[in-house]
Amino acid sequence: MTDKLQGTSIQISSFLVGFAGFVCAAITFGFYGKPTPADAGLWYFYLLCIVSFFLGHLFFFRIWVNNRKYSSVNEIIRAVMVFSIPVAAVLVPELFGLIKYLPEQTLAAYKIAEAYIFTLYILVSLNLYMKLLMMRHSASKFKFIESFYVMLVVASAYMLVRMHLPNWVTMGFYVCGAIVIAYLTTRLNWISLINRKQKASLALLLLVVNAINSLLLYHYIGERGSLMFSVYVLPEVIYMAAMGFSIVYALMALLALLFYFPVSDIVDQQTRELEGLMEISESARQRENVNHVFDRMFNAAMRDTDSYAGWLWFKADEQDAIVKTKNVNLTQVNSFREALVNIIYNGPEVEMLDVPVLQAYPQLAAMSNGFRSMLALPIVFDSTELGMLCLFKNHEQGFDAHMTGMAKTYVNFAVNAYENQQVLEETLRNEHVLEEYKLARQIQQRLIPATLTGQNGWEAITYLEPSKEVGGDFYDSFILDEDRTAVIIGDVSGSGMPAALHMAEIKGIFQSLTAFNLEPNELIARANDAISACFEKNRFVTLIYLVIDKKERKFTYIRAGHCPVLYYENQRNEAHYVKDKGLGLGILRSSTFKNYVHAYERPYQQNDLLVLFSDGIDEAIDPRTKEAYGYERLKDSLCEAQRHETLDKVMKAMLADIKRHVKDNRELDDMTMILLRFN
Amino acid sequence: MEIIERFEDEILTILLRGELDAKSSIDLDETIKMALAQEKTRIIIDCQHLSYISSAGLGVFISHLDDLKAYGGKFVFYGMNVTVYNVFEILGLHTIMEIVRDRFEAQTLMNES
Repeated sequence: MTDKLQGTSIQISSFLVGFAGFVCAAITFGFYGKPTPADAGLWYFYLLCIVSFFLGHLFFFRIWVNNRKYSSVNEIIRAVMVFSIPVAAVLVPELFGLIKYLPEQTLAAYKIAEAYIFTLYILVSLNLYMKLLMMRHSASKFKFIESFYVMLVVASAYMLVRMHLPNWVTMGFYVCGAIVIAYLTTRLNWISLINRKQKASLALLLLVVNAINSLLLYHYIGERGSLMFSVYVLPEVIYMAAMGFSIVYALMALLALLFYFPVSDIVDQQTRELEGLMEISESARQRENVNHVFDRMFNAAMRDTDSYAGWLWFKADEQDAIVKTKNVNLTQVNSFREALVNIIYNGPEVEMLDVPVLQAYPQLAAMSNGFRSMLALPIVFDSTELGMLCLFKNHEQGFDAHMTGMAKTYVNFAVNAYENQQVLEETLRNEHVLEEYKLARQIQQRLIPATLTGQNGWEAITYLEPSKEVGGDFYDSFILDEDRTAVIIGDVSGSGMPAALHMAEIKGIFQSLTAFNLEPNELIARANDAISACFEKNRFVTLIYLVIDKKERKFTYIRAGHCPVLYYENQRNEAHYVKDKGLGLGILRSSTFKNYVHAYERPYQQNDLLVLFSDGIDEAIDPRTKEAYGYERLKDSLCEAQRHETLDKVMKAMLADIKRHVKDNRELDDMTMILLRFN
Repeated sequence: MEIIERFEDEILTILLRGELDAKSSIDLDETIKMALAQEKTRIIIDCQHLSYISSAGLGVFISHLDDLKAYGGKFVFYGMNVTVYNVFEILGLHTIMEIVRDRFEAQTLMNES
């Protein structure tokens, strides 16, 4: 804010100094005419006025121009032209000798106004050209621009002391000025910013400016003596420098533009290509569908190769193919494409087909509707052909290497966009699946109870961790009567979603079978029948069916192919595995199965402990030694952990031991463990 | 997992090398299905180089038990290491499948029936 204010105050004071200089000079000029060095006092005063007029306006316009925003070269040159109009307006009557009809008194006023308008024009255009120079400026050029302003200030000071300096200093001064001007006037980098729409209007503007400049130059040389600011040869040094720069720069700009015309076509072409690519990538980025991307690609390729006709065929998915045509019969596309595919993939690759080439492929010549040249590009992704772009022209040699390259680039861009979209869609699909898995996990967690019910006479704690979101491990408990509770732990073969679905089925089977008050043998045999009826042949279930009778203080169990029960006897203070006969469910799918079912009965004592677990526990692998956790470690861990007061702590200690073993192994099976302690 | 088949004296020997996991179980299943299609129902499984068997691998043998029996054929396993045998044992498969120590015993057993 203060900077801005400061800038404004500098701008206003520069203007005031400049305008005061102008008014004083004008009054002096009006009363005395131009002073001569003979009248030293007046002469120096007049010089000072002219210098402050010049420098004040120079800096005023410098700030003014710098504060304005110009978005293009044309806007700057247009501003120059606007300021050149008043110059033309005062010059034309003078050149046609019309001012001699003016009364004597107004002639001086005319000259004063003319001096003001000239000065204004020269200084505004100088600053505008400087702005133009800055458009693609580098630091070094920036310094040079600054040096030009410094030079003008020095030149002003020099004017006042000129009389006292030797000639070679003056010469040196002129040479320096010429070098700076020569350097600056050849800086025309902005020419590359001009696009094809601006070219013509810029040429016109520069022509007008240059025409007025030549009038100004003609007048300056011819009538220098009569100009208000040309008191003597010397004071005009600053005018010469400023005007010299402006006029030469305008001329150079015009010449540069003229030389630029022939090459501009190529530049335009490249600009158009870039625009085309940006268009395609833009449409891809906005997640437009594939259809749109290829639509844009086709239009860009047609436009930028100047093709008369063409078609695009693209197989986006199994069902649909995208087909675009221009000036080609839609029905022809398919047969044409087939013929082309034969040539491109079975013969030499064809990119450009001119008339002689067409003659080599009679089947194409017949179909090509009299087009004289053709460009065919296969659209290939992952080394499979997805489609083809085909462009036609009515004349021979229609497609040069440049156009072919451009069309190829467009095709590649569109294919990339297509590829990105495929990847994106797949990611979304995967995310969707993950979402479903999360839901499935929630459902399964509800199917498996957090605690075992009917814990009167015994207490239990459970742990279940599927390796994926869901798994085939499960446990459950059912109250059979007021004394007896059934507990099952099991494992469906396989893992993930299929195993989880079967697990849900098994829960249902046992829920209904336990309601019938069957003997354990009978119940397991019926469960096998049920599983045999609904499971695929290669899927089976292992489980332990345990019935606790708190009244009789005994438990009955059947091991159906599952990991054996680990039994800790409190009185003897030792643990052992209860390895009894048994066969998994769903393996023998006939009545012979019941021969393999063995129920065992055992009495229990207070504080005896049962560990039921799944094979995910004993088969948990240490990733470094590749060693499984095993039955022995589990047993030792139980003996160590059982001294804890609460089952919760026993479980935590045992799990911690397993975690120590598996370390960071991520490829673990489902893990389930139940601790059951009798009261 | 490497699955090598050899057919001689009306007996198909399938050699399993490595780990029979969920993925290789599919290949093994294909192999056995092909054998059944060609009526090769007397199958000896050479387990000398089998280091691990998953439940899916067991499922393959279990699923073909009935079919083999219906055709009058059977599986005979031999050369199992302790780890693999334990898996069969815990599941109870050793009571319904024929598991012997070496090739000679396997061939004898196969020819008995």
